[in-house]
Amino acid sequence: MNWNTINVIYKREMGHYFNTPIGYIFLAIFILFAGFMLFFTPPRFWDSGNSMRSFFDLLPILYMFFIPAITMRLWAEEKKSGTIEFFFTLPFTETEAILGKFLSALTFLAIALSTTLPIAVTTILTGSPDLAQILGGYLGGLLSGAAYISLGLYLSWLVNDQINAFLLAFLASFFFFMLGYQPLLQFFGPWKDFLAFFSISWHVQSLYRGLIDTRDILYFILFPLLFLYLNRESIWRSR
Amino acid sequence: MDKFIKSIQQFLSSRNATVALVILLFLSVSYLSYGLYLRMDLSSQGTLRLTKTTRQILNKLEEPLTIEAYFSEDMPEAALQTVKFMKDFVSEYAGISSKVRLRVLNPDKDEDAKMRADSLGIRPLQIGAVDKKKQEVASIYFSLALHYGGKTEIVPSLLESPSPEYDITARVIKLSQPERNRVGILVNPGMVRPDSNASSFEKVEYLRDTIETLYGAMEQIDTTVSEIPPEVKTILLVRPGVLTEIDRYKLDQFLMRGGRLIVAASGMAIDFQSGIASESTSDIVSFLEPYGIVLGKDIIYESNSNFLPYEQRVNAFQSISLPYPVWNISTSLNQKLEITKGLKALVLPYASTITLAGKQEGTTAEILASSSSGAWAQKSFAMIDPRRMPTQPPEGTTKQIHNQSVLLSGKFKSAFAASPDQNSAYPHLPEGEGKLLVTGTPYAFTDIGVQLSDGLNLNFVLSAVDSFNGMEELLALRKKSPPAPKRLNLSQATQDAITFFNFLIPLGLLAGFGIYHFSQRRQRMNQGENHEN
Repeated sequence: MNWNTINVIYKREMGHYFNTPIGYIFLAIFILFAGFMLFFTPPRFWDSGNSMRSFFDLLPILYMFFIPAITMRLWAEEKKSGTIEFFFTLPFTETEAILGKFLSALTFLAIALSTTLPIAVTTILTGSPDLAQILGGYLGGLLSGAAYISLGLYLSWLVNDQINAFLLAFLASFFFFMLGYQPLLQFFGPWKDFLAFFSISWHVQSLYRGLIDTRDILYFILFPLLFLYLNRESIWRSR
Repeated sequence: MDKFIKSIQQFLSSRNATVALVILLFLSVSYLSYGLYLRMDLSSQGTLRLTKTTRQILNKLEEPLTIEAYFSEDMPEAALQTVKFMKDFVSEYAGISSKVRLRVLNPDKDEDAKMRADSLGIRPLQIGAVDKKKQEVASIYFSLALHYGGKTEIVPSLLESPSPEYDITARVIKLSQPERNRVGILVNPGMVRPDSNASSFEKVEYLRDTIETLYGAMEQIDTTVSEIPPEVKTILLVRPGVLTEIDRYKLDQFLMRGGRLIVAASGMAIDFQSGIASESTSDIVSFLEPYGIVLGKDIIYESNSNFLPYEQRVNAFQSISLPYPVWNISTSLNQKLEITKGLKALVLPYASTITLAGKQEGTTAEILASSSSGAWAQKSFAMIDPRRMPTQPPEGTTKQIHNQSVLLSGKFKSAFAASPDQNSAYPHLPEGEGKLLVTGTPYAFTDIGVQLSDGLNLNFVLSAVDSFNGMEELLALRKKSPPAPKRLNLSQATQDAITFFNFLIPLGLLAGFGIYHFSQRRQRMNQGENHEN
């Protein structure tokens, strides 16, 4: 694996985000929704002890729309426009290509999350937050985002159209989110604990409380690795 | 058969098998990690972090400790995360010492467990739950029974415990170290009582329940009609009203024989109906004076206070937030003394000033809590209705730091030492080593203050009791103080402006970067074109 090659692909993908208005539009929508969730959705920021809790609680719902939007074009657009054939004639491996795309989407997500830093500053200045919980919230946001991105990237490969890639990634994100939802889980009887354990929302809650748990960290390492691996396998099979 | 084996061999050597194996590996490694894990609570409060004290106590146990966890399996969504954290937390106890055993029982499905829970007095907890689109009350078990040396202690609920470690370990200490001093509360007529049916301003039920959990039944003492039992080493006086001479004498002698008095009283009487505070006629003021403590007949207005903003409706759609300076937070706490060390704040409603004047020789005075330098004392008469409160001190009154809680310790001289008839009516010890802690408000320790301070005030008074009773282990456990509640008292317009800037700053930066990026790109393209030309 050559990191220089990964860097080339990474820069190319980052260019796709920032050389066209689409990346800016996505970021602006993210900023507007994040602010709306915090300041206008009950419990409102100013009514709830000036805490970021409601932002982090609603972040997985924002991700269900935002991450499919940033991953939908990663492979599907290449396939639709026909550049995929040319793409793989270039001197790099599937793994390098996947990692380049994955890291660029992750960076884009990190930039999106960083746009909420003024909210963190407001919280620190006007409330009495626990810094570990804010940091844990951001770490959880990034790790769960990485999991959703790997999922979206893989699903983007399976279809030839951005809209389908978005819908598929949205449904899959929704599925992994709902796995941790108790009213739904109660229908699975003895399997509910097992299923809940594979929910992204289940694992991220500890981090939001400032708890570092090896089970969650392991899950957030293994989950993206699994889907990046499945992506590589899918590419290999189709070539 | 050969064909079948061959097809299996073919599958196993194929990439499909590798993919299946990787998925299986992911599922199994993730799930198996459930039983083998490390956890660190990095939050400042460390609610789910076991302290060194707990580890030491568990490792020193002489007999086996059995923790029976009565946990329902089906938990409502609202409680699910807490349940998950608490289960892990309780499991950690069993991992510390081989003497600790954990048994998880589900009374919902196991009839024997249900009967056992009933016999131990463990009742299901009622919590709100949303089921099938309607609000219901769910009945769940989430309690612990600790068995040690033939004795049992119950942790009735782990669901809303702000300090689960304290709740569990304190009971382990109680089981393993049964000898401890008793705590009493003065219940003379007119005083705040633990068992009254009064409002949360007028009773100390939380305080009583917590102290009884750790120190056994709280002795209710009416000094007018009875003596202070000798096993009682600490007495709480919350808003003492009438103290006759005999009451004052008994309390004085309690202090002289090494007793510890915790006084929570104001020099003002508050009338919540009329929203007015006026000078109190309580005898506590004159009781404290011989020991060098002057309880001011005033109320501290903390100009920086924003703990309890008062919402006032301006019209049908708008309300404004008014400060409530008589509910103030003291963050100036003495970090050298065990009682307040590590404690981030104290919430002190309607507090009077405390002045140290004519301190007795042989005693030392420590200031435990004080106001900010922006506070002033409103003397004799004060409005507590936020709409009628002054925003500035009256002429001649300056803003300054006021003491709000003090501790006197050392060799006290009896207030009755100069009594002319000392040998007959009031036989007394002339001096003795006691401790006297005075806080300038009773409402810090009544239920309202305990609830609204989110455990801070309770921590303070319990730390005092623990410190006075030499329970260093309990003190160490209580150092997980919640952060000081801080909420700036901002006007609606300021809130709107901050909200607006939280949108504007990132959007502005994004737009700025976009314009810069596109202009750079355009420049590079133009340069490229020029170069080609």
